[in-house]
Amino acid sequence: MKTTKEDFSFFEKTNPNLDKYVDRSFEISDRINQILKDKNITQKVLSEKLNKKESEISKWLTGVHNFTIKTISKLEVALGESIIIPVNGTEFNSIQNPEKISIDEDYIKIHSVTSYNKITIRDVKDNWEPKFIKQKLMKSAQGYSKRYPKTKWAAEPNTGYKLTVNERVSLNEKDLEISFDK
Amino acid sequence: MYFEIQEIEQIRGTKVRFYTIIKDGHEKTEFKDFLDRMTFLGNSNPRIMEDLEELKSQIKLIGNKFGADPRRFKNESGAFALAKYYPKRKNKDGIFGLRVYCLIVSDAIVIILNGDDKTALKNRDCPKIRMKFHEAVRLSQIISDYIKDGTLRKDGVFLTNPDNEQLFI
Repeated sequence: MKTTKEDFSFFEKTNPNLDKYVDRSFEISDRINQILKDKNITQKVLSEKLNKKESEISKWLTGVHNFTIKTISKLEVALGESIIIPVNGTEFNSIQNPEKISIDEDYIKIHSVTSYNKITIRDVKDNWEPKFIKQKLMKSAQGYSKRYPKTKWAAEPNTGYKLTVNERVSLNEKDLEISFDK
Repeated sequence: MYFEIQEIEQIRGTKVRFYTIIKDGHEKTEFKDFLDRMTFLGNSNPRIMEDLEELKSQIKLIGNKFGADPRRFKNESGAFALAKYYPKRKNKDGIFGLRVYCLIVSDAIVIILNGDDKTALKNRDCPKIRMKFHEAVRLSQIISDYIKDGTLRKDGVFLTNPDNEQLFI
């Protein structure tokens, strides 16, 4: 197809506050949808739990609803899961403490699961290349995918998800953030 | 009347490519026409400019992060539209916000058409939006038919007209 030569520079100017607001709204609705899917909860059941109309719940799940903290808290109680995860928080998907995942004689310690498709691992040994961790995590994920349903695609490399490992250095230790993106 | 589909490179996202159409004899593409008209109105109406900014934000996020999931669009029985909602304000005083019609070809290809400022609950009751909606429904059907019969082909983020056939409305 030809490319239009018209001026769309309107799109070049960014509005960080608005962009973040819409981004978070989309993420929150995705997170709620994912929990409903994982727990086999229908919109109807959720609407009954919250004493709301199903049409209102449907609106919440579409992406750009301006949730109040109060509504999010009610949703979290009804779903039994956290929706908003504090940065560097550890509360997610019932992970209360760092977990050890066996990798040969060494282990990977999960520091936190910061969103539905990201985990951070800590205390990375110097000889652990990201590629190595990726391979091992893909393999070991098979064993714990039931406990951590959000990571199930790591055990199923043919689902179209790709696993990327991003290194980041924190104050005292090296972390690796592992993302699962389609 | 024939028309051409053109890609809008300046809003190309990592997950979605956006296209629009230009009709024979028209100076502007449909989306550019919408954008220019709404920008003009927005210069004297802050609410319209705010709506336009929110539309821009949603289009960019769909393009770069979330993909063209139909859940992100308003389904109006025959055509999809943006923005789904304007959560920063309620629909009151007959203001329903800017509406731009789209054809979701796939989760990686979206054709943005035209639209206007919607001022009534039902499309048929809004003189500004009524024509745009009907045209969007018609165009969506025509383009879908061209894809079905192979005149237009979709491959990942690419929408092509391999034999450069003329497309008629």
